[in-house]
Amino acid sequence: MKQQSSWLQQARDLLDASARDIDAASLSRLNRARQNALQASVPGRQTRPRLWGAGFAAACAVVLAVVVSIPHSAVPTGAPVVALQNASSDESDLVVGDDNLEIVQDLEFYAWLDTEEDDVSG
Amino acid sequence: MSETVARMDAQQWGQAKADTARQEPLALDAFLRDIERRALRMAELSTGQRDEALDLVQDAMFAFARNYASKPAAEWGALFHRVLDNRITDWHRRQQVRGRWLSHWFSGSRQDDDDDPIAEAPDLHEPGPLSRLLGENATRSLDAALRALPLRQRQAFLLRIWEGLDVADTAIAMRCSAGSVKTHLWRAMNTLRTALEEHQ
Repeated sequence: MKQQSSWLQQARDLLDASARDIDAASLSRLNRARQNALQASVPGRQTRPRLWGAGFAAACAVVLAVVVSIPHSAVPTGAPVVALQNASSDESDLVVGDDNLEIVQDLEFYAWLDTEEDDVSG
Repeated sequence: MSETVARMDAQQWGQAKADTARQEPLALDAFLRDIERRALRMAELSTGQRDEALDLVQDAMFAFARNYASKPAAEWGALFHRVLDNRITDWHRRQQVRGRWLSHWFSGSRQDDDDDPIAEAPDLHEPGPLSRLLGENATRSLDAALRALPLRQRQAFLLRIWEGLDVADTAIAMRCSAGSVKTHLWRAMNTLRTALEEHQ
């Protein structure tokens, strides 16, 4: 029994010595592994929030891509209201201002005058 | 009066809880620092490669810290070795599958190596059995004897004899019964003693 514990103790000492003599490069890697493990153990420093952030960013990118890819020609630009919106503020005043109602009433005359001028110049 | 005492108790309890939360990373750091070298040697004895062993220990540390750091510190030893043992077992399974494929593809070249008479010739400069257990050679002989053991026997020996876990904790680490631990350990000790006596 004593002989058995003797060789077991010898084996233990040899293993302890081999663990003490680990090279510096391996110890450095062990140190880094330990630091990473300690960070993983701290609540709130998990990797999941980063994944949520990445997911949110991806969703925003998809929405932006969809908005950009919609063809602008699909919007009916011929409608009167849109034409009014596209006009500058001076033109709008010219058309709908209270002082220029006569111009609105004589639009057909001005349109005829415009075509006449084109014919003369042409 | 009783309200004041109760408030003080609550404050002390809160302070103690905060102290525990502050000390936990320090305790975990000390635990990992204490165990990391032996863990690396255990993994190395199982894999035979330092780099592979470092990867296994790194994985085991990370998984242990993430999943079991909140457990009582008294259970950390068994739980850490359970995680590491799991990684080592998985590594062996992968190696067996890979070895099966390699032996299938390269079986021809292996047969050639087996029949090489020069490779099998005795080394005239080989030191005698007595000198093998002196200094550096003693470590090599023990390493070779440990590596020659089956995985479960080696784990039982290292965890019980070197790491100092009791039978119950070793059974937790190896995910087997206490009886199996005793059987593995008994066989490991017999094989090792025979192997080392042959060297003396």
